[in-house]
Amino acid sequence: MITSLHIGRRNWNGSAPLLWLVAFVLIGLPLLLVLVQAVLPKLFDPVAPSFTPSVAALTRLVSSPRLFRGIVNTILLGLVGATVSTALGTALALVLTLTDLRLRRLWLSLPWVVFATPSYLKGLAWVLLMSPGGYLVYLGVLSPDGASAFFGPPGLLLVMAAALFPVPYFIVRSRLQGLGGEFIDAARMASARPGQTIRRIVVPMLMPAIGLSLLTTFAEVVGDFGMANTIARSMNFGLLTYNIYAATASFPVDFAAAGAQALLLVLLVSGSVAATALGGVDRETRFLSGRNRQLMTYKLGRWQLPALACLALTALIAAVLPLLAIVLRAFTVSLGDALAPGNFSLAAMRSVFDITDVAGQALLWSFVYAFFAAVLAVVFSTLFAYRISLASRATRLLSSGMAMVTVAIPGIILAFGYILLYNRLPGFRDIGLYGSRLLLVIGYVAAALPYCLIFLWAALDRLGASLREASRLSGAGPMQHLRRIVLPLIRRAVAVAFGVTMVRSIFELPMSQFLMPSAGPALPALIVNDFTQDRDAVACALALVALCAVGLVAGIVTLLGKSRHLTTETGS
Amino acid sequence: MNKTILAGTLASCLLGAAASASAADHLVVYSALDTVDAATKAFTAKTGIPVDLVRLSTGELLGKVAAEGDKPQFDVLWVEGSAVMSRLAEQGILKSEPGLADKADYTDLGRRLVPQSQAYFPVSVSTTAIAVNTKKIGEAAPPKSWSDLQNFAGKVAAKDPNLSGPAFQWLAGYFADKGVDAGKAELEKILTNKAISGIPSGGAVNKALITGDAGLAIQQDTSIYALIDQKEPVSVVYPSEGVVAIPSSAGIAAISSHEDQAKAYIQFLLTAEAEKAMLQTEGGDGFFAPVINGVKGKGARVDNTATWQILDDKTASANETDWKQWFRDQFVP
Repeated sequence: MITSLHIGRRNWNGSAPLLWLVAFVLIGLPLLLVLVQAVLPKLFDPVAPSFTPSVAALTRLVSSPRLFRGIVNTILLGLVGATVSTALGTALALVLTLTDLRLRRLWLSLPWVVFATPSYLKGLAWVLLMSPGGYLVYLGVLSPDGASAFFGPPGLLLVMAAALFPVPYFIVRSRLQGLGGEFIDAARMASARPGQTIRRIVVPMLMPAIGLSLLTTFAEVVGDFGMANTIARSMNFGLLTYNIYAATASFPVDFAAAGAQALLLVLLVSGSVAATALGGVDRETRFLSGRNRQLMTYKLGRWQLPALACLALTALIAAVLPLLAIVLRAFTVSLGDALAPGNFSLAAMRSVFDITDVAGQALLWSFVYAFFAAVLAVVFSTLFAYRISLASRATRLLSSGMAMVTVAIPGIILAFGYILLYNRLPGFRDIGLYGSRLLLVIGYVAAALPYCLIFLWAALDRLGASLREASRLSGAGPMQHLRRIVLPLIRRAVAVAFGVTMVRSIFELPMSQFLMPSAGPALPALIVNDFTQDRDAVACALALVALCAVGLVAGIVTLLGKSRHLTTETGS
Repeated sequence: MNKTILAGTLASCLLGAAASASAADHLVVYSALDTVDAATKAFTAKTGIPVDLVRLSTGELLGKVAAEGDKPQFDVLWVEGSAVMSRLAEQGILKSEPGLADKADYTDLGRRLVPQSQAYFPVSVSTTAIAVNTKKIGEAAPPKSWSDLQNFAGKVAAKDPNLSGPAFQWLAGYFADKGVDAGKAELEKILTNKAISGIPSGGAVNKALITGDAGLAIQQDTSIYALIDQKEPVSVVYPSEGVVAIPSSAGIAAISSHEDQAKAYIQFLLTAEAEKAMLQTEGGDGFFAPVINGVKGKGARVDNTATWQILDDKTASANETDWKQWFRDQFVP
């Protein structure tokens, strides 16, 4: 008995050198190749590459007023944006999980709709809506001066919060679903009022998820490029990611400046991860023991109507208005004539459905890429997250910190790293992957991996150690435990990770641009190219069709899941 | 469940392998111009040579080219702005091809735009002019020169030359005409609103002009003609100081493994047949000024190319980093 336990322990230590190596090649190495140029600016010089070190790019972060302003703006927006969007996401998760709110199914789809709409589309939609000559001014809802006033830090914050609340919502709800009902039942039996129960029982139990949400959203805000390039730019509000983009999209590319600013992002996020760890937010809190009761819901009573009004307002700002702007632009010819009757046309939609056009091909292939990227990312991240969950606390903390850092790094940096790795670095460039469809899929996997890991860790974190001990004492190996016990318990998180990766990959911009296969572009590269070439009607039409296709696929999958569930129930 | 995961993973790997194998050994063209689609279709239809296109906006495309460094993956690069092409030729990334354009029936401007190095060849041309939103400026007299834009300070939109080859071509031409110090001083008096003064793309400049805070824009004329074609309330003004030509040029990679096909491609671009195909393109790039005799630009374009000036690429290229940095520090938030 003692011998078998000893053998069991050796298999349960969470070490996974091969998985770490894969993660390093997928994310670490490409990032390193860009970051190192902050101090080795001539490393990839096409004429005279050299290892001569220089700290000029780093000192310029402080000496250039423009760069320094961008850094300060980014930190401020990150702090406030993370707090507001986490509060919104947490409140939504609490209301939708713990109350009898009406039209629940409709509200459950809201975070997915917002999440599925890429930030560069949302940014553009808000510019179309709120510009002095935009749709809301045209409709008389706003005056031109009122519209201009929107383009300031409060407007940006509103748009950011409305765009980013889905991630905290997913994390908190995932944790909430695993709490089990016994704690809330105990509070009820002790005559605690709903508000007291949520404040003193539920929220403290959710603290790790809230901490994780704050970190993830902070990383999202400071790393977001879509908003920085559209609405923030229109507001004269310089941000770090825009400055990184500007350094990489100019010619000759200023890799040193991009590397120095990316390095700063890494320090910002790793600093906040360390601060959170020191603050104790990541403390052990595991609740799912295998004997949990269902969560009971509270009746909203007279609060039903105000809650519905708040949800409707959130839906209006976060999804309805931006999508409406995209729909209107897709069906109109001229931007200036806005909603004039003669301005409506199907011309842009027709070009999207032209099968001889690259648009149709791009749409189709983007779904194929996204599907395979989602399969690979979910399989890898499930194995990796599981192995890490078995490892020591220090390893878990280090891994989650690294995932956060990767979330904050703008995709453009990772994409550049991929070019340097697979086109310039001896050994890797000989593989011949550069320019292939496979490299684009790998790039999508790398971009989605940190999110998958964060979602899966949030789910794994609530599994009690007793489950593992029970498996181990029954003589099961870690993989058997994963297959038979863990996977059924975290299947929702796996499904969320799959869905998130699919959606992210379909609209993932930097990888699509920089790793464009020579066989043809993916959808996001085409959409953004249309925007920059002033064909925003076609770009909106393309984005609209893609969003509808995502919705259709999601609907079919949900229906299939339901019919399978019904069949299983009937069979049993 | 285990089998499903395994099957999915295997299928992904198989797709990857198949996709890698399907990346055929074709001529690869990198371009930032919309006209590349129509021209390439016509080329393939005529010659049977398949072409793989990588089409991105100028900023992203040049970023990609810079990251690829001395291992470029294109056979042909076709972008706007001669200063950029000049630098790539100096770095040895583009190959000199003497005599390649000898058979081209160039216009006078087209012939003048062929560089001495013959490492890249003008395919079409445009310039930067002033776009005026006639509704927004109301009764005010429209500007006639770059200097007149000082009367509209704070209302003038402009692209960031750091992110746009054509915008840098304009800035370099502006300094060549006014002198660097005087030019800088004048621009500081015109571009006083940072929210609209260093915009990343031509599309965003148009949005600022049509629905945003800008009443006028320093904009590529192809884009202005496209707005006029869309019935937007916009007119074009060619400043009295003169304008600098922005050629779109194509060059061949020094390490191209399809040199003959690449030469055939560029020679085709320099024919009236290709230029006419390019004119079918919808959107801004389709409103170019042709550089081949016998082809007429479309839409409201006026033929005034004979007066356009040619940029001194060497001077522009030598000062590129400094001028771009100055513009960014002055006009980008």
